[in-house]
Amino acid sequence: MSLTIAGHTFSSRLFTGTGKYANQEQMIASILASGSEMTTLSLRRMDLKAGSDNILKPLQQLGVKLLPNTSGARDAKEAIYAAQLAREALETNWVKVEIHPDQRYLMPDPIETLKAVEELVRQGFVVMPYIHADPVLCKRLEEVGAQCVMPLGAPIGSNQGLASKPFLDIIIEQSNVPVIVDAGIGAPSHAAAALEAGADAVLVNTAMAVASQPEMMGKAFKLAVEAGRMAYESGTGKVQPTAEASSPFTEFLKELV
Amino acid sequence: MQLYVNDEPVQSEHNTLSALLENYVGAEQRVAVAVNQQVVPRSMWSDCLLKDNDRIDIFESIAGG
Repeated sequence: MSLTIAGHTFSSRLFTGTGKYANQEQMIASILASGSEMTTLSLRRMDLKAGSDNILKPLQQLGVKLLPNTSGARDAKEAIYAAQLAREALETNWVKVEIHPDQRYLMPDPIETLKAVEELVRQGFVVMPYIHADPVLCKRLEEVGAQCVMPLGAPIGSNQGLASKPFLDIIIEQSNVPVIVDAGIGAPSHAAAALEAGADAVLVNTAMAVASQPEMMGKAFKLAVEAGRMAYESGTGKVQPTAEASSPFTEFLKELV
Repeated sequence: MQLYVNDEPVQSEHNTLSALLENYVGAEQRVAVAVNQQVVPRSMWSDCLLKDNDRIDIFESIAGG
């Protein structure tokens, strides 16, 4: 059941984010209930007057692996700079590369992402790129050394689910690195569907953070991801257009007439 | 010496990065620092000499997805 990325083994296939929670207590309770072993963080320039909100300490106490992202980067150069800063601030060479110049749909820029990943791999980073569900791009990223690919299900925070499902299926079929469905997952059923289809993991943030009970939703996602993976490993039946009886046909009913 | 810390103009007598940062960063605080957009690892702060008009940027982790 476990998943290995760059030599690191995770027993949970649910990765989480720390954004949008109403408060730190809810964030910690939700991540804990979800069983997630890796959670994302962002970087920003410190507000010298307001001081720090100190998000690190409770997460370190929780013992989850921290995955910095390059959110806010608009091109490869900014993403590389953000990754270098994150490596220093969080003492990790893991980075989730996300480059989205457009604020309305937050679509990841494929060209800048490929450039950034190639350079960051050269600099020794474990790179996890957030991308559109583009099978060709996934192969190109794999070739330059991405340790996994993170195709979107739907726009970030949109809760639309697996809008990109046909393309996720192609990516899953072709990929030699783990496929982590990131963005758009709005309900546990979406996460279960991704795992059932053979995705190696999902990353969930908004759906957990904005739930009226984030802790319970974290648990719901944990169960959904486990169920989805178990279904995938069990092997789901073939979809077909006509019925196939689950009970054997007998002459029994005729006898009664 | 005129410096800029996160874009704010600062007059400073400190000539090393480590001395300047004492005003801003706690000993246990996990931050990343760049001088003129070059990341300076913490182990190098005391060797990093500042000059007039240097731009120092201090970054910290925040919540994000």
